[in-house]
Amino acid sequence: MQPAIDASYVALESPAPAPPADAAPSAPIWSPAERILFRFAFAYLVLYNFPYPLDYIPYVGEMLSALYRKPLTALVHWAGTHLFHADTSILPNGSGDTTYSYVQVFCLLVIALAVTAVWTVLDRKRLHYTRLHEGLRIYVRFALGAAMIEYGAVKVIRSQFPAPPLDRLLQPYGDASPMGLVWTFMGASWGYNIFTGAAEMTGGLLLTVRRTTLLGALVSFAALSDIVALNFFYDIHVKLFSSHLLAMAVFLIVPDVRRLIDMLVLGRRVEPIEIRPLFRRPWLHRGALVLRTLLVLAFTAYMLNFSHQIGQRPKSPLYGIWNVDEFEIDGQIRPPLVTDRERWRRVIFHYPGTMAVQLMSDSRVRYSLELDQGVMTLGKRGDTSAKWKATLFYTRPKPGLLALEGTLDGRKIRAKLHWEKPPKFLLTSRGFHWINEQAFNQ
Amino acid sequence: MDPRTTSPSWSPGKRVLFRFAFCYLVLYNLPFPLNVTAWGRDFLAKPYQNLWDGIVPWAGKHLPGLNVAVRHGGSGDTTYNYVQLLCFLILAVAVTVVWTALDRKRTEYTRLYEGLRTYVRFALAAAMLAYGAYKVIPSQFAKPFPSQLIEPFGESSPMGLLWTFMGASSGYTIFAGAAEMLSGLLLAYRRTALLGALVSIGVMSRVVALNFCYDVPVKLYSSHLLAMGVFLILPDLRRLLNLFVLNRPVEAAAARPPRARFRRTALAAQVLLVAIYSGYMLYLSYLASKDWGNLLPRPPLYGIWTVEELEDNGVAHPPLLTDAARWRRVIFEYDGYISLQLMDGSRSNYGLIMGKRRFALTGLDGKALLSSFSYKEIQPGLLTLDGTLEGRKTRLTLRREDESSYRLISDNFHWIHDTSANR
Repeated sequence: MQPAIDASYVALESPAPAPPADAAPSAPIWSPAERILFRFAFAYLVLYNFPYPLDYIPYVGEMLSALYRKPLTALVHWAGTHLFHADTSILPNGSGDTTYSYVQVFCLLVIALAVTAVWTVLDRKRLHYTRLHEGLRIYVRFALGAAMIEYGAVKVIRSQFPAPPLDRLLQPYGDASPMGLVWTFMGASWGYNIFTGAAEMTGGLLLTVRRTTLLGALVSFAALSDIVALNFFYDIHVKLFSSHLLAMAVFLIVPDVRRLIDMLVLGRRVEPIEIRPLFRRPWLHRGALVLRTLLVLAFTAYMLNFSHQIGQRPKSPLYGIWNVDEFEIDGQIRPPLVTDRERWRRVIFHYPGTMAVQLMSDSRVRYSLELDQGVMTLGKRGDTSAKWKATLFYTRPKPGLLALEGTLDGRKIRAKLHWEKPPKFLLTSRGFHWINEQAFNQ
Repeated sequence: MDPRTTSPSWSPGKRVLFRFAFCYLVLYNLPFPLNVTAWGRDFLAKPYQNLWDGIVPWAGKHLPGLNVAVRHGGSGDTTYNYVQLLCFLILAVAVTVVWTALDRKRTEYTRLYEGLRTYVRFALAAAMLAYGAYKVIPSQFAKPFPSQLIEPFGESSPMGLLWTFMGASSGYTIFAGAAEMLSGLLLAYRRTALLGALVSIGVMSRVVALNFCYDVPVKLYSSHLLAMGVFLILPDLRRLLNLFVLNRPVEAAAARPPRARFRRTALAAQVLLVAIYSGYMLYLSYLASKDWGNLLPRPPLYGIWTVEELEDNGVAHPPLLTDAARWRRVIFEYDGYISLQLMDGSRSNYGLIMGKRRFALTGLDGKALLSSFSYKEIQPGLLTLDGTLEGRKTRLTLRREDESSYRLISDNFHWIHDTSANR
């Protein structure tokens, strides 16, 4: 037996193995650079994620987030106009990479730098931000977790990538944008949606538990690297947001990099992390855990249901592929020449609210659509000013026949169409085969 | 420290399981590593393959009553592959039974386990490096060829869609390949093997999901690679669980038998071998991409040509969609082949003999002469053809389609999107 060694001696000689709970003196001293970096990270991450989680509160969430977003929007418009001479009037819509979004990131960076500077000047005595770092980690964990659960839910219950609609199945590859190709690829397999969605949800759910945060951050990191790569390489308009999520996963992993290397590469012994209770009083701590579990479950269920709701898209009343038999522009009949750049080849209705025209070149043009008692009102997709409008009158002289008449871009058009039975598409009918005697790569 | 004295005895169940895993994994991965070099492939791996080509059809006939054709290349999920797998399973079970009966005294297989792990590690590393190399120098997935651009989505198979999706972005293909090569490199060194196995599990689970969801006939092989990654992390499962889930102290990894004497030389040799192998795979991929990928030399007249005018025995045929059998497009993309699209959208390929002023269409075997045309590019992008088609004098005017008019090609990258980029 070795003689018992004086406790203070141990503390001096070797790094304390596991500091007792709530031992402020044992908290390490951060270097000045670490402190400045932390202040910046704190300011930027809070500014970027705010008003989360207020925006998720039922009934009042929208009002509360408007309190933050309104002045921010005004600031972004001001900065856009005066600093960049850029038009920021288009707010994030389907796209998250609008000019507005970039100017907003710039504004948040400038504010975060300013906050860091003031904070550094005022708070010179503090040696570390251990507690605040813990708080920030909780905030980032739940902000990232919510995003991962939401993204996962809209894939597991397929709504983000619906099965390719008829107009997509008829569109040639070359006519699609790279993003359109990804959407079609993802939409073509529900199984693959479930796989990627499950990975994202797993990452998100693991993030909400303190003990599994590192695993959740690593799973999220892997899933998000793939997403960021897709967004950059296929020109998908979610580059800014997905990169931020990836950076948040990195932020959560960084403190554990040493432990990961010890464990995975050096094969050393790794100590568990110290999990300090949220509150001193055990019942408060336990209550907080119960509340968290309930909120996470409710949020997950809400998102799954939300995805189910928006995924339930009925078919258009005019559903199907309509071949254009006769087409007249300004009183002139246009024969079906494939070199005609204006004549329509097919009109395709899949979901209500959209109409796709396939031109003679097979290129696809999509319109938004309102159907009302023989009147179609078309809008241009991507027309953010929503000024472009066209009105067509339609009649159905016989089942399977459709006649259109109206004005489009200042030109009078008239068309006669007949309904065509959708062909059996190889993409949607091929199915699964355990055995393939030959590769079926067509 | 002699590992034999410190190794605890294994339970009988564990011993039987190990014997089976040993037999199956070795059977499945053989003839690796004999097949790594060209010499080994010809003189060692080939006879081994021939042996199986004899056994598998015989087994197919006698076991499930199947007629098994020997097919190699293209698909990895042929009836042959499934029957061979069944043979591996039966053989592994048989060897396990005999081994268990004969080797009753031994209480553990620590050393043999270590050896098996090394073998599986290198087999998996070699596969990951090869798969990665074929993406880092994109050859597995080539950029979409012109004929792909005019094909409707609905007419491709799910596998065809996946291939075009991957091929459309060299950047994404390189990204995916880099992750695969990284896991292969990490697996090649014992120190980083656990990390490499975890990365390979991450990468391969996605590949397996793709293969099952898009009906890619590499289901068996990719599932085995995934299983091998899982096999490699088994000894560390408890440590992983302690670190990632339970937040308990993680014990140091089991001490490894030291290789003090030739450690440096061995490590240097290993680094060299891995570097040579990776370089060789990248080189093979480069050769492949010259054979059928992005670096394939473009034939003369390369591109998609729209048949704007067609005169048949002096009668003009305007490009009417209703004229189903009229030529719509002519595509030159591979040397020695021509592709014709009719107005009804159907497309057929023919052999092509290209001369300076004339070309001839032949059957795909290059034999039967179908017709011949004299051609002249009267101005860049405008081509006239004169010849006979099914005995009639035919004259065509073709206009080259600008590839950058295709959104898939030209809509490459934009930082800013004020509206949706999904078109």
